[in-house]
Amino acid sequence: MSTGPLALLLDGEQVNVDVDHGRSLVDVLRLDLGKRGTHLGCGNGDCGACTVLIDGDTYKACLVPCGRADTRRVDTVEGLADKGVLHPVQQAFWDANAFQCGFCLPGHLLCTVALSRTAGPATAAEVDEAIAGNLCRCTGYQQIRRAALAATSTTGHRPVADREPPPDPVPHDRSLFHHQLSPVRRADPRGHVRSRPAAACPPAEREGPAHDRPATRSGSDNRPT
Amino acid sequence: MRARARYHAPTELAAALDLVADGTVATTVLGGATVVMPRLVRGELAPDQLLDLVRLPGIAATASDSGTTRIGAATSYTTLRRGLPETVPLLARLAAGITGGPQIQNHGTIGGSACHANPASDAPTALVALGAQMVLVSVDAARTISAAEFFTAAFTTSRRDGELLLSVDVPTSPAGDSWGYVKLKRSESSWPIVTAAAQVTPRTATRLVAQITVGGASGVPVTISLALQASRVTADDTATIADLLDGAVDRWYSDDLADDTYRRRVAPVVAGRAVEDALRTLAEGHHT
Repeated sequence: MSTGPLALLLDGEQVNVDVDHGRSLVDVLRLDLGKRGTHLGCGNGDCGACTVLIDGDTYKACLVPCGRADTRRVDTVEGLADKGVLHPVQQAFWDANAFQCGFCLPGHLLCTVALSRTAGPATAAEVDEAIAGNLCRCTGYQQIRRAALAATSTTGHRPVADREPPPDPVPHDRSLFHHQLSPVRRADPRGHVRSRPAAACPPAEREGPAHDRPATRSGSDNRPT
Repeated sequence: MRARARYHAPTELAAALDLVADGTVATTVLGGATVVMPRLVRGELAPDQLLDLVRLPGIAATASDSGTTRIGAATSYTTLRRGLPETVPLLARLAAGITGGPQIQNHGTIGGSACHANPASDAPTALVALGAQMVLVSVDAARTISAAEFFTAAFTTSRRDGELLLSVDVPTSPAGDSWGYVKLKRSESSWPIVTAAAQVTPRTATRLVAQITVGGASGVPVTISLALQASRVTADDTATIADLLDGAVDRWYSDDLADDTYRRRVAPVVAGRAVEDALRTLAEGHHT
């Protein structure tokens, strides 16, 4: 049997679709099942942007003939948030400003999720190993490492005596990022991208509707507003 | 337009063997599928059918008795990591170093790597070093050959049409032996250039014998042996290793990553480092 029914428990929902079982899972997810949160980067198994969980383990969906996922549980990045509430791993990445374009996020998030489900808090070395299959072209990885380490320290703010310290301790507030040289761009719920120069940014503030300034078009001339 | 390959994932070995028995039907067998899927999608490979082994019982499992560890051909590197640190530490160690992250360790299989026979891969080197036996089956027959006989040239094995690799059977190494494994690659995401697996056997308190299998020097893994006079690798030892490799390698391998001259320069060093790695393991009391 080649083309036939494929049954998946996909992001918590039972789906059935008629497809050729030899097609890649990433194609079936994106083109047949509308799950475009899972990204197609290299198509070669290198970049990890297509990562999904199959029965809880991480796989690169561009390498999976979709027939292998038949009757299995498949979790994509889109299944992490719960009715708009970010998954703790997503929240940790948000808090650490650990992404720019977001293309690599499915892999980094799901590999961190998989690590967070293993027993005990993760060491820095374990974090590095867990995310080693994911390539990021934007960030230089340090923020990602911090986010993943924060997300997998199950003891929260309690110190863990025999765990090695993070490679580069960073306070988990936003002031560090507000004083970057480049403008901080915030997505406006109304759909405009607002940007203002770093000097105009208020000091550390929690994420949320942060401005009462009118929207400016993206590409604005960076005048102090 | 050419018809897409038919996908089969049989649940019984007999059905799988029937599928490959017909020599007029071009079949690509899927182990981890990490090499095959990108080629299929890019149209570089267009078989009549895909034979996915993933649903065959036992094909992805390991079983050990006192003399042998049988490893199903489609056993993933993750399973090797989890299941074999005590019984075949070399494979558990190798599996942990597979490029591509935990995802690729979940996907990739030892049998798939063996059948692909890329000189850059880890598995062929380790299988030859371990003296693994390759179990090949077809509808009419089953045979077992040594790993050294299995790999015949770069990307070439002695698996015949109609045969499937069912398992690799690894003899238990002697209790006093230590293993080391080193590979040279120029970036984290890259294929190895040279791989070396060293098995060190203490003969007396100060004399040891090292058997080193080197991949990426020739198109197939080559094995050399030397005696160490001290429990370290001296410059003389490295020179000896270089001479032995020159004798063992028919023609030095060359590919996009490194040419023959480069490999000839680095292989003795990598081999020496694998021995040092085994000596470290020996000193630590066999904890890899």
